[in-house]
Amino acid sequence: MKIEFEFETQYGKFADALWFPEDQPIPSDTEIEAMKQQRLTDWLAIIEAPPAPEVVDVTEV
Amino acid sequence: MVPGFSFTGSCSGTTLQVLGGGPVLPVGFTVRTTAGSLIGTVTGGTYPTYTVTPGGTFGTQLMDAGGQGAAVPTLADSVFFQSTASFTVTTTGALNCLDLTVSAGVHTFATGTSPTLSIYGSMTLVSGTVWTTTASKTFRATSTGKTITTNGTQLNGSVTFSGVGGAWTLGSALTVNALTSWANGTFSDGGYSLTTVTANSVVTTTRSVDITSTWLVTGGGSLCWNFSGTPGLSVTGNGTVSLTSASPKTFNGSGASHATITLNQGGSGELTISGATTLFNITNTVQPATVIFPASTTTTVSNFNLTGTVGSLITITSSSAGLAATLSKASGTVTVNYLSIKDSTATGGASWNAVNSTNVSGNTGWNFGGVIAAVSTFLLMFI
Repeated sequence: MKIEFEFETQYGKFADALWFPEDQPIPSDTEIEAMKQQRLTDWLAIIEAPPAPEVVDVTEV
Repeated sequence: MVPGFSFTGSCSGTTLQVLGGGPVLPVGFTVRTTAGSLIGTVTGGTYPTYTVTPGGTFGTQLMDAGGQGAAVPTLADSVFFQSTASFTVTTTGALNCLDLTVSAGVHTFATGTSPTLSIYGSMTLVSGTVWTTTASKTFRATSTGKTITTNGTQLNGSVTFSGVGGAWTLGSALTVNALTSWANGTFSDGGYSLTTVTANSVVTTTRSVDITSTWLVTGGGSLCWNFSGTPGLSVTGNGTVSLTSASPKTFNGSGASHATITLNQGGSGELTISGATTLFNITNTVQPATVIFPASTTTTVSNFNLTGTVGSLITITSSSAGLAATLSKASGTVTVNYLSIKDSTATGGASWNAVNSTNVSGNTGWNFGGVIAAVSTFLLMFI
């Protein structure tokens, strides 16, 4: 089951989806809302404390 | 030696027991101890109990499935992780698979020795998967209909889309804590956010990137957004690319028109636009900030919505002092507020009005008016 969601933030729209395996119980509404908020929190954390760029060969595929 | 996946198991005779969660072992996988002692080849059974031939007697220890010269997954083999227990998958060497699916458990994909991962199909991760491996991931499908669903898992290691004729669509937001690059095929964000440290498409092969949501580029530097590879590149969608670094960063979209894309100055580091660029819109979500346009080069826009605030101006200037950068909009009226403008030629047919803004020097085509300009005029008259 897929639940799509989005948040408007000062950095723009964050759009994501929660996927749940068919053979597992679906979380409660409260749990689902907490999962959405966690996704948003994780996203905001990357913006506010981004990882350092790694050195790579940009022409290699 | 071709390494594979490590897991904890126990073997007695021809019976191999996977312990503490672990990989589902296809028939044909060779299993050894990680010290190199042969246990046998999987000839039957189901998770977590398998038959191995030849067998042996080993206590509980770390084992290596498909490793050390045995049959590792090939580009034709799909890999499934469906144990409800938690275990660590150590990635080592050049790994290939068709689909990679994690459907249960809380598994950690960790870095072994010099890992790379080529995925020729789709990638699906269950929520809670931990992806710490720095293995570069290359999606090499050569057919359409592939999906990438990470379900909240942030991917370490670079991601490259590089399959001639391949097509990938996101099934959820994608976060890459490294470089994301596009070398071949067709990519669509599926309406979901994409976050990456840097982004590039610098080759000359045929590829298409569809941006319909908000993409964040969090890194700084001159290769922050480098879509300069031409010909062969197509950028579509009506999404936003936001460069959020607090360090100086560069947007180079010269390899293809970004005529439907909004570029957002989303971090305090000055934003430099490099090369002739066509954009749908230019915006900002931070003030004060600076946007540097390329000198003696035209940046074409359909909209221009940089906006400062009182005491926190948006500075626009040219990459070369005294040499103007050209902004072009075909029609209509642009009205900006609280900008500091230097070495800018505004043209193309639209009216360019700068309200509450500072006319520094070297500007052409701008109509300055409003509070700041009026104060300046008054002061000049008084002197």
